[in-house]
Amino acid sequence: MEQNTISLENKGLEMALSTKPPSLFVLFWRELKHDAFAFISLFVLIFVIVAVYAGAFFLTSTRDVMSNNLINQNQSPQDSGSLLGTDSNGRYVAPLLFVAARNSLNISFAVTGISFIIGLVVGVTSGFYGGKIDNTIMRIVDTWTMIPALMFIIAMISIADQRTVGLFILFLTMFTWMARTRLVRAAALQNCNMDYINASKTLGTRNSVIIFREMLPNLVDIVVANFVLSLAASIGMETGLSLLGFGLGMEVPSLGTMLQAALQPVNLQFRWWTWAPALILVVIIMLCINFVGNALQRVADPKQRYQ
Amino acid sequence: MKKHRFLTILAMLAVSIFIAACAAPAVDEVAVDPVDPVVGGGNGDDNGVGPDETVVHSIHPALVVLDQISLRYPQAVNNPGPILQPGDTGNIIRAAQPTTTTFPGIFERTMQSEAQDGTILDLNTSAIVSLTPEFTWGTQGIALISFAPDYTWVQLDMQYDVYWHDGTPFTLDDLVFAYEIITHPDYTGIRFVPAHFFPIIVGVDEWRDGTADHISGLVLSNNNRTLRIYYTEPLPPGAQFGGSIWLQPTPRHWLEPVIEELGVANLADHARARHEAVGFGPWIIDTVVPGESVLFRANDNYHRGRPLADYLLFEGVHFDLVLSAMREGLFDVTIGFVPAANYEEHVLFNANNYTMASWVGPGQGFMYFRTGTMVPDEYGSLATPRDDNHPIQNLAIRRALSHAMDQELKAITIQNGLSTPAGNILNPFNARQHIDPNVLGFFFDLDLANSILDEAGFTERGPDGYRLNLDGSPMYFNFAANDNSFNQQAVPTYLQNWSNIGLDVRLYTGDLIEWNTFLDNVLLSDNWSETVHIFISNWSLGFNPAPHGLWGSRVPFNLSRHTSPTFDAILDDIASQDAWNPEFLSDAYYRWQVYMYENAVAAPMFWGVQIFAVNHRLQGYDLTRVEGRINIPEQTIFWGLTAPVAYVNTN
Repeated sequence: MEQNTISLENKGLEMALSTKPPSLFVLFWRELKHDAFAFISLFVLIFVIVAVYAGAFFLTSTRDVMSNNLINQNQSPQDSGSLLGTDSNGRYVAPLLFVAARNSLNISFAVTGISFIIGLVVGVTSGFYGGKIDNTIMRIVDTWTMIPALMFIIAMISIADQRTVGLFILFLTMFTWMARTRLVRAAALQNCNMDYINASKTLGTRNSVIIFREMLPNLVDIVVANFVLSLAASIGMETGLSLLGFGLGMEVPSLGTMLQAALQPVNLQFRWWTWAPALILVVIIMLCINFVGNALQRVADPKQRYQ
Repeated sequence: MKKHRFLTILAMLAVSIFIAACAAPAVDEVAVDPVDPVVGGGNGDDNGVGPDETVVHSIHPALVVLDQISLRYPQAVNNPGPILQPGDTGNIIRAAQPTTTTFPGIFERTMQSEAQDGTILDLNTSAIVSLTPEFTWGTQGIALISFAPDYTWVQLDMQYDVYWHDGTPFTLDDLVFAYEIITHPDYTGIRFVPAHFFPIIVGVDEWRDGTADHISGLVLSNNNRTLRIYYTEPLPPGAQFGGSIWLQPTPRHWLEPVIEELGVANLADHARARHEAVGFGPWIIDTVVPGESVLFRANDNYHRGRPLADYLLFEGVHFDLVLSAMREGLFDVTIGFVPAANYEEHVLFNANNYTMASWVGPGQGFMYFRTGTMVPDEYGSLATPRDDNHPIQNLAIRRALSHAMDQELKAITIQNGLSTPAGNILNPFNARQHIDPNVLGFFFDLDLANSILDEAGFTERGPDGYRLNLDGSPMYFNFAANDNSFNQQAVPTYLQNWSNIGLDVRLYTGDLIEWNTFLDNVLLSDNWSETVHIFISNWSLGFNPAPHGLWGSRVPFNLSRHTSPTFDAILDDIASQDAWNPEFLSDAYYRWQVYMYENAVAAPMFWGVQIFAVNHRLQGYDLTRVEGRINIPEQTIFWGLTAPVAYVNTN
C-alpha cells in the first residue's frame, strides 16, 4: 500500500517531468481560438503583408511607379480607368500604394529588428551581470531616454546632407532601442534570480552557455510579443514624420508621403483617392498588428493567457 | 521707390506667378520654332532641327498669351457697403501673407533681404520720393528729386514736415546715415552694389579707408532739408528709374547708439532694428510675434493723412491654408499673391465671401545653373568662374538642360493656366519696354536637347543609361529647390525631363529644402556652391528693367555667378552715357537678351499673373498704378491715403 502510494507519486512526478510545457505556438493558437479579433487580424495582416511584397515585387520598378505624367494629374478612378486614380503628379495611386507600403513595412521591420538586437545584447548583458555593469548601462539608457526623441529626429533629419532610407532607419533606431533594452533587462534580471540559473552557475557552466542556451529561450515569448507591438509603433512613427515632411524624401514613396496629399484642402475634400487608400492601409496594418500583438502578449504572461 | 524690392527675393514666390492658358496659336509658334532670326542663326547648335522657315514677330508671342491671361481677373475689386470710421468697433484690417516659412524679422532697410520683411517695412516706412505709374521719379513724396544737367549730382529737397514714429523730426541727415551704414567697410548686408550707384559717390573710398569721418560727396544744407549727392562719373539713364538711387532713410537718432554699441556688422541683432523699429509710414509696429505676425496701429501723424483703419494685422499663412482661411473669413485680404498652384482650390470650392484680383506683377523665376563662386574683395565680392571642370560649366549641358524643361505642360497643369512659359529673360512686368520679340526663350524640345548633347560629344552612356562626361567618367548634377506647392509637383517632373535626355540630375538632400535653409545656403551665400549645380529661385523684382541688379558681377543676387568680358560690356553699355540714346539702349538690351539665351546663364521659368484674394468686407482694393501708391499689392493697404479707399466694414 505504502509502496503503491510512492510509486503513484513517482509516476506523477515522472509525468510532470516528461510533459513539455506547451510551445509558444500552441499557446498562441489556443489564444487565437478564443479571440476572434486577433484571429481575423492575423489573417488580414498576413494577407496584406504578402500582397504588398508580392505586388511590389511584380511591379516593374520604383522608377516606373514614380514616373510623373502631369497631363494625367488628379484623375478620379472613374476618369482614369485605373483602380485608384492618379495623384497630383499624375502617378497611378494603386501601384504607388504597393511600393509605398513595402517601403514603410521595410523600414518598420528594420527599425524594430535592429532595436531589438541592440536591446537583447545590452539588456541581457545588463540583467545577467548586474551590479556595476547594470548600473552603468541603465544610467546611460536613462539619460538617452530623456532626450526628446521627436524633436531630435526632426532636427537631425533637417540638417542631414542626404535623406536616405538608411539614415532614417538609423535615426529611428537611435530612439527606440532603450525601451527594448529595459524590457529585456527586466526579464533577464528576473530569470537570473531563478533557481535554474543559480544551479547552472553553481555547476560551473560558462556564462555564454547560460545566456544563450538557458536564459534566452525563456525570453522569447516576451520578445516576440513586444516585437509585433513595436512594429505598429515604428510604422506610426515613419508615417507621422513623413507626413510632417521630416521623414523620407520626395523620391522615396511611403505611406507617410502619400498621406501628405491630405494636407491640401482640395485633396481632402474632392480627391479622396489621393490619400484615403494610404490612410486605410495604415489603419488596417496598425489595428491588425495591435490585435495580434495583444494576443501574443497575453500568451507571454501566464496570468493572462487562456488556460 | 523700392529699389530694394527690385532685388528682394520673394520668398515663397514659389508658386510663382506665371502660368498659362496655352493653346493659343501664338504659343505654338514658340513651341515649334526653334530657329529665330536673331538667335537661331548664330549659334550653330540647331542644325537640322525644326522647320527652316523663320518667323519674324512684331510682338513677342508670350506677351500675347500673357495679355489673355491677365484679362481673367480685374485689377480692382469694388465692394459696396458702409465705410468704417476710425474708432469704430472692428476697424482692423487682417492681411494674410501666403508663405511657407517664418519671417526673419529684420525691420531695417539696410539690413533686410527677405521679402516678407520687405512687405512689413513697406507698411512701416517708405522711400522719400514717390513713383509715377511709369516708375520714373514722381513729385508726391516727402522729397523732390532733381538731377544735374550732366547727371553728376542728384539733389533732394524736402517738401513736407515728417516725423518718425517716436516723434523725432525726419531730416535728410537720416538718409545720409543710411548711406554711411551701407558704404561702411564692416557692412555685411546686400545693398552695397553698383546698381544703387554707391561705389561712384564722391568720397566713398576715403570713408571706407577710414581717412575721412564723413562721405564728402553727400552735402547737406544747413537746415538738413536739402541734400546733394555728388558722383565721380555721370549717372546712366537707369538712374531715371524710380528705385535705382537709394532713398530709404534710416533713423540716425534711433540706431546710432546701437552702432556705437554693437558695430555696423551686428546692427540687425538689436531690438531697435527689429520689433522696436521706427519708421515714418502710415502704420506703426505695435506688437510682433516673431516669425508669425505683426500688429500695426495707425499713425495719427502720417503726413498724408491717417489711415482709416485703426489696426492692421499682418500674419503669415501657409500656402496650402491661405484660401481656406479666406473662405473662413479669417482674413480680409492676401497681402502677397496666392500661389498659382493653389488656384484650383479657389475654383473648386467656389467660395462666395471673397473675389480675386490679378495683375502681371514684377516677379520672375529662374532655373539657375551655378558656374562660379563669389570671391570677396575690397568692394564686397566678385563673381568668379569655378575651375573645377564640372560639366555644368559646359555650355551644351546648360542649353540642353534648359531646352528639356517642359514649361508649357507645367503652366497648364500645376500653375492652372495662370502663366505661360517665360518668353525671355526679361521680367514680364516691364517686358514691353525693351523686349526683342524674336528671342523666344528656351522652348521645350527634347530632340534639340539631345542633339545639342550629341554634338558636344556627350554620346557615351554608362550602364545606368545616363550620359558620361567627355572623359568617360560618370557625371551627375545636384539640384536644389525650396519646399512649396509648385515645386512639390514640378521638381520630380524636371528631374524626369532631364533623365529623358540622359542627364543624371539628383535631388540634393533627397527632398525639397526648407526656405530659410535654402536662403542661407544657396541664395545668400556660397555654402553649397560646390555641391549644388542647379536650383530654382523666384524673385520679386523691381520696376527697373536694367539687368545690373540681378546679373552684375558684383551683385550677390547674381545667383549663377556668371560673368564674362562680353557680358560685362553689354551691362556697361546699358548703364553708359550712350544709353541716353534710345536706339543704343534698345540695341544693348537686345544684345543682352541674345547673350542670356545663347549662354544659357539661367533659364527663365514662367510669365504670368499674380492673384490676390480680397474679402467682400474690403472696399477699394485696387492694383492699378497711381502715383503715390507703389501699387505693389501690399501698398494698397495704405488705403485711404491718396485715393478713395479701402475699408473694412463689420458685416
